Amino acid sequence: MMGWNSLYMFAMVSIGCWLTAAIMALANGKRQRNSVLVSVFQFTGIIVLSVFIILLTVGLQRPPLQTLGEIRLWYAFFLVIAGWITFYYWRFSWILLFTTVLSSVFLLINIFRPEIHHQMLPPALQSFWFIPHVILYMFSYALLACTFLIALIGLIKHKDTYLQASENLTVAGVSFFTVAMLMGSLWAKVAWGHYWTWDAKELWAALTWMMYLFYLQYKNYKKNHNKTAYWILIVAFVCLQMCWYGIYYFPSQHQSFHTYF
Amino acid sequence: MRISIRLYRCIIDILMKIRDNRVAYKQIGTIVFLLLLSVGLSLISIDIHVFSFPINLFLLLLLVAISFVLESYVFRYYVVSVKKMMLFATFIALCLMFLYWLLHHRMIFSEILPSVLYDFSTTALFIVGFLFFIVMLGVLILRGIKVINKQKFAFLFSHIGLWLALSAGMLGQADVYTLRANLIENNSISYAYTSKGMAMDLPFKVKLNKIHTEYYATGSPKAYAAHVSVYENDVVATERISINHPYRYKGYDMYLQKAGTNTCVLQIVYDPWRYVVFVGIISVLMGAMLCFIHGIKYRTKNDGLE
Repeated sequence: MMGWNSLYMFAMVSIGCWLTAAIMALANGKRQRNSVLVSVFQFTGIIVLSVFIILLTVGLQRPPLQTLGEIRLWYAFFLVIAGWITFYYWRFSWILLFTTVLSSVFLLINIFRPEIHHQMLPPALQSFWFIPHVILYMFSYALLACTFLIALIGLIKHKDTYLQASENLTVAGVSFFTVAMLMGSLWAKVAWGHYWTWDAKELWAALTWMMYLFYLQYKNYKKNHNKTAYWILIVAFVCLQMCWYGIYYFPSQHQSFHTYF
Repeated sequence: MRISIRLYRCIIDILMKIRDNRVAYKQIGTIVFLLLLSVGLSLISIDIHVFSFPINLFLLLLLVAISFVLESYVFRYYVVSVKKMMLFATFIALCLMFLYWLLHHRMIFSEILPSVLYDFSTTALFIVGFLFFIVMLGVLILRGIKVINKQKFAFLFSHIGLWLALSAGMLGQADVYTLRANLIENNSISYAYTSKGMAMDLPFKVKLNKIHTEYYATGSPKAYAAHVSVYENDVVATERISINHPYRYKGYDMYLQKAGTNTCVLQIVYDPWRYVVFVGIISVLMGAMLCFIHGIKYRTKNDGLE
């Protein structure tokens, strides 16, 4: 039966493909030449990892969405997709290398420090809302991670395309974030009786969401370039880390409805 | 040592600026006033149930009226940018949420905190702060609604939805009752307790027939369910309530919260505003989807917000 012990084989092939794509993209620079080949390599890696996820789902007899290790797997998966979207639309030759390195780190953590992957789904998570809620969150996190990378690079060396790209990616990321968050609130109504309870996870989700809305409002208010917009994106991404796993390192996590493990 | 020197220099710098009249006293005054107001408001606890229907409906209309007056007169005739005020309102909401999270760590602050801050969501500061956000959101909607084009739908759906969900969610709380009922197998009850320990009568009786529990091979729980009967004079219904599958009767939603071997805890929620908030949430969902489809295009230069 397919399990976590075969991840290293799939991960090595995927990382190899993504690295080849990233190096080709860097070598091409802004030229369009070989961009199809870059996409082919990128997608081969993505398909190989999808095959692993499908086989793992079959092996576990449940969607792999429960442990932190499983969520890391999805994050690595969506990050390379988000990286490819950014590369495809804005031709940032460096973005693929960044997303490849980040995804590889997540996959390697899963290989060398496997979490306990034998837990079964607790009753609260057995819901129709669970899969779209988590997957949409992961995809939005990945898009917003790209905006963070662009903001970091933009702070060091600004280019006008960075502003446009980060704003577009934030709009896409926030859209997914909103849908995921509101699906969570609809689910909470069915599971616990209230749409919103202000527990630590929900507070940070709302805070992160508002922070990105603050960024979009700020961009709408001040259309010209200034470094504040980049800083807001960086702070918003720090908030996102708090929302994702940061809160579990603080004492208030014990009161959270979102602590299952 | 270095930090203390820096701090000292910073204070000296501010004092020099004040001496040279380079700092606007008006701004310092405003900041001090806002800080004092915040501290004062945070010490006032509001019992939300005081504003139960129809008072909350009037308050809702009042919010609309304030937004309308602000949009029609204040922002039009005075040089105050709506976008700037909305940024300020978002900043206030962000600060309030961060403060709320800090106050989640009650065990750390337990000796210092006044008891009113134990539930920050009931303090006047939190409520007034969010009402300010709702009013500014209303102004933004009223301003934006005047220039309607195809790309404006994302804006309208998301903003109106958010306004509806926030205002109905907040003011609707006045009519919401969250009760807990402890049930023992083959016994029925006709009352449940509020979070403050007050017993409230239910318009029906609930009887626990049986608890059903399933475990995985590893020993971790797989499913809980409570088989209950609801009575008025005779048995009205016999239902299976489990986590994620509540049962609704006469506007009361019954959720299984805990299950033991022959006891269970039901959470009973009475929420007459649930559909209003639901419409708001669906509207924001549609707005977010449209926003993604249109991408950046909806953020046109002539958005009518200035």
